[in-house]
Amino acid sequence: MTGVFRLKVFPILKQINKKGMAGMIILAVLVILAVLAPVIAPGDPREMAGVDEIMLPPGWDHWLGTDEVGRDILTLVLYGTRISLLVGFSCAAISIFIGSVIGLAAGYFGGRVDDLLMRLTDLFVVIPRLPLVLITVAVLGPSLVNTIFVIGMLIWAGTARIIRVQTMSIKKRLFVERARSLGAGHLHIIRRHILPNVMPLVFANTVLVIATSIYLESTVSFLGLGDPTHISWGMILHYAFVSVALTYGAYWYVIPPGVMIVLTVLSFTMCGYALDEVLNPRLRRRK
Amino acid sequence: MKKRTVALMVCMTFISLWMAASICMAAKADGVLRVGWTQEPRTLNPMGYDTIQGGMIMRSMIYDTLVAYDETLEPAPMLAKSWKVSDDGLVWTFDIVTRAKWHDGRALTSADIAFTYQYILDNEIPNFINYLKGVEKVTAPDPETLELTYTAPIASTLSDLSNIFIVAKHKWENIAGDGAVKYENASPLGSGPFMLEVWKKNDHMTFKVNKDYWRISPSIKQVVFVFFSSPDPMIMSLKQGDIDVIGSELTPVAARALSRDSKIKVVKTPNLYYRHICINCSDFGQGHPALRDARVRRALTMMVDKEYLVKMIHGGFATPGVSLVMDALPFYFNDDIVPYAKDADRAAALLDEAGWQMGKDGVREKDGNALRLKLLVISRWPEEMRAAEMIRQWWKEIGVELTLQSADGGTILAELFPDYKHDMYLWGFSGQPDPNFSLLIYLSSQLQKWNGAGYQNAAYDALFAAQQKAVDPAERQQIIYQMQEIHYRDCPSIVLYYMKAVGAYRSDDLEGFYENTPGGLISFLNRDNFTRLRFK
Amino acid sequence: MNKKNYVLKRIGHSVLTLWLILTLNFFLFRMLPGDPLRLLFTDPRVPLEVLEKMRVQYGLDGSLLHQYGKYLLNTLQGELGMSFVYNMPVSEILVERLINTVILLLPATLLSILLGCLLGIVAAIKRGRASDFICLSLSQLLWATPAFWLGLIFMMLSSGFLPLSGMTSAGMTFDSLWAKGVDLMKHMAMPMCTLSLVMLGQYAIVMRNSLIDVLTEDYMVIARAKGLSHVRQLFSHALPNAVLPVMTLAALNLGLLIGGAIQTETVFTWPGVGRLVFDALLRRDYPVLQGAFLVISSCALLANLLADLFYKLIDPRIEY
Repeated sequence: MTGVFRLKVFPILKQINKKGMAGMIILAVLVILAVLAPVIAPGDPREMAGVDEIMLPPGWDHWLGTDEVGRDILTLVLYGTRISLLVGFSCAAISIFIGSVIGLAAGYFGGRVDDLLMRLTDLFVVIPRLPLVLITVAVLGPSLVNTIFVIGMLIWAGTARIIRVQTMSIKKRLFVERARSLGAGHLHIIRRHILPNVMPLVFANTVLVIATSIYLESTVSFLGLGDPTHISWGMILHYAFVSVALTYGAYWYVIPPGVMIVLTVLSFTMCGYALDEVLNPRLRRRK
Repeated sequence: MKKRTVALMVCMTFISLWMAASICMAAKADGVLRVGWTQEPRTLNPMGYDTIQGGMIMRSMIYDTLVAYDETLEPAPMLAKSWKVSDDGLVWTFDIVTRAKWHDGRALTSADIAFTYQYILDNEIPNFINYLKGVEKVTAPDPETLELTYTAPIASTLSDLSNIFIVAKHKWENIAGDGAVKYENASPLGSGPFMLEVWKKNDHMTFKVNKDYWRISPSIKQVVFVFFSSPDPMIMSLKQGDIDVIGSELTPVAARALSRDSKIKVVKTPNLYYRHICINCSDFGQGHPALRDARVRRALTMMVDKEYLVKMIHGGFATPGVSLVMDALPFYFNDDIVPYAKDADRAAALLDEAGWQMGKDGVREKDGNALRLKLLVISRWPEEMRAAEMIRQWWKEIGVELTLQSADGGTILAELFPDYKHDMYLWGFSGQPDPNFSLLIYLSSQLQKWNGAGYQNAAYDALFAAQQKAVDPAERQQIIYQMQEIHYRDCPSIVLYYMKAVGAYRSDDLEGFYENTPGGLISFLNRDNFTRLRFK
Repeated sequence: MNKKNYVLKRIGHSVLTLWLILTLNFFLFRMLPGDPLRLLFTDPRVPLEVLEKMRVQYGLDGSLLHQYGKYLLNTLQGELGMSFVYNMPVSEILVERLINTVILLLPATLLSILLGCLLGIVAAIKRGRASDFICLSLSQLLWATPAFWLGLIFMMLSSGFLPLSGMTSAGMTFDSLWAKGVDLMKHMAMPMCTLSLVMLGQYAIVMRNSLIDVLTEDYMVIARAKGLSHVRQLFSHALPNAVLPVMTLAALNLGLLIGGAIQTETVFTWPGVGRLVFDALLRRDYPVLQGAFLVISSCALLANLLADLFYKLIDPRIEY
């Protein structure tokens, strides 16, 4: 299976359009920022300063100003990158796993199994996402682990549908029929024939799921259900709202975290669409 | 092309018409006071389970009480225009005003008051029963006289009676006692200066003035409480003039933002409110065993630098806490008590003495137990989580490992009652002008009720009973001083800070606020809160 | 399988999903740690006998299965329980709030469809050129913007000349319907703009793609050959066919719209269902959350069903 990847990576990269490339570059920068945050951040996110340093506008000491307890906002935003990326990747991992299992099973086995799994999938497609995530996190208690868990458990439906369709179309192809008639087991067929052809699609979809997770987490945190012991961009905005930053006119508190969210979600999305265009056989026809 | 231009022109016309109209609509209604608030009451049922906010509104708007607090927070005449006590302190006689009327026009007499008290006693209404403690008999010999007979003299009588809302006999005699608590009371019938006009839940509550109010004629014609979900939109509304006053909910940052505006005045008043960390000292609960030792608690208290917290987190809008009686009650506040200075060595010595030795990983241990504690922080005030983080770092210095958990009120209460599973929790406490209530929460008899610390001290209980009977103020003061010293030594809670109430109002429109009365601009304890406000 | 069978099967699926929603709704709120009644009566002075009576009244007595059965029966009769916080029937509060939310959502959706389609049309016509790139990028940018953040930005920008909270000005009496309407419009302006902007992205993209598809179809070539002006081609031939996916998208988007509404209503203190959910979350008002969740999910389910049936039934290309 790895052989499949090694063969195809470079041609894929060459085909990605300009926007996708831009997205990938931004993402690479974000990952670097996240990893290096403790090193390059000018302050300590836990350190709180005195009353004189509250709500300072951007200046030489604090490039993005300070918040209502005197913390350097640039530091907070940099550390927020870590949490947001962590949430994005973890939620995507959980949701891709669940979505793949369900999609594969539904597409491959068909019939009753398909019906049952599709009803389950329908449920999670129909129910409005944000209320469900909010309520579940509220019930379980706000913490980073809970948020990741809940988001991951609730957004796999799109992935499942895509994988199911692809699995169904692959299954119809001749070589699968031949393998079955030769007596190959289900698991073997899935592993050797279906997965390699489904994986590229999953990969493109994963990137979009990461974008959705980050978006959801920032909204949940803003609405007050985030983990107070971890700083994410949504939490920064939550504190801004709660400590009356708007009335104070503290644009430096409100703008940077939001810009980061938009930038991150946008780059993941652009990458996702670009990859999708390259890897999704149905889309390639449109151009 | 033509179609598009036509559509565009139509849109532009609409927009300009709309803007023109809105500029003309700038006028504001006269005599309407709009109060911004984030805590909506749950119900306006005086007998029911109201929150503090509901009680506040009922006290200053809808209902009258027998006596009430004036702007210096001393009990003053209200429905009772004068009173006297018998020599043995057991019989109180009140003269009732003659002109008082209910909102439906019927006269208010001592029969209503006697009925109210009897109703509470007969049905053990939880909200008020504690305020009638010791009452043996309630009689109304004539429509202008009320008599209360006690089994023993109670020092806080007048103060207690100022907390009980007087309800109409002709309404409540039809409401069965066991349904009283859940009764919705959608149209409250009171005798106070304002009447409820409309309540749109989660939106606003409107009161109109009672033109026939017997005591005073308010200048304000209507009061609207506008409910907000968060402080930022509320404060922006004040700035823009969409509301007129915010009573007491401003943070230091908000206050700073508003003080730059010349049309708005920010007012800081003392408050009967503190935030504390309540420690589980119970020997029957499931808290960490170390906390049963007063020395451990004292060591923990010592390491909390309250001055620092006040400076960092509350920007000077609070004073460091020390005793369980607030500094806003100067007569009863024991200012001889010297707060513990932050001293890591002394604290460490106390822990050593209590048998908790420093372990290899920096955490103390004893008999195989590590000194790992958990603090539940009420989620409503995010700034307290920051305080908790500082406390965690200070306690780490003496080998105590603290984990923090943000929890809402319900979760904290679930940990508390009935099993006392918590180690400690950080919450707020609202007291009253009489210190009785502040002292009550550490009584053994209040276990499973108000005593969240699980504190049981027979000496303390005895002193409480004594101060309750001490009718002589000087004697009572001394007893209460002693109780504060016990609390200080035993540390069932760490009183973090006495919060000030910070409010703001549009000073070029309004006047008549009491800016020195504890409780903020909308101090519901002050009976003349709304009645003396005027628009300029 | 013919049309009728398909419709029946689809409705059957929806009913099953509805039952799943009801069940999820029930068990979700039973996952609470601790006694739910303690959350209701946070006043520690409540005597135990009163608590027990409340337990029966709120239907929290009996085994889990028993409660579930009671819950299903009650819900189907429209009885959604009593709010912990407002002490009134959940159904009453919900109806009021829903109306307020619809007042906000309907114009916002229409505006976002309008603007989104405009963008999509421009992008499709100028396909491959700079305008296409700009429109697409704008759509994607708006799509990536959190509704609450855009709301905060608007609040910052418009402070001073537009009211920033509520649906009406408190304490004011209006003499005419016109005055009342203007006041409403003033309050609605910012939330509506916020919601429209974050939602228009996908309409733009869908409109663009489906219009591109349509523009290359045979009947468009014929229209051009007939010598019809560009505009006539667009409006009478291309758009009607391209509009179909947009409309179904609008219905399918109800779920996302609710999410946007929660954020916008919270930031602008609009008294709708979104803000109700937010406040109920803060105060752990479980009956309201349960009722709101049910209503929201049912509406989304219905919208999905209708969109699906409508799309499948009138698009001649789909087989059954």
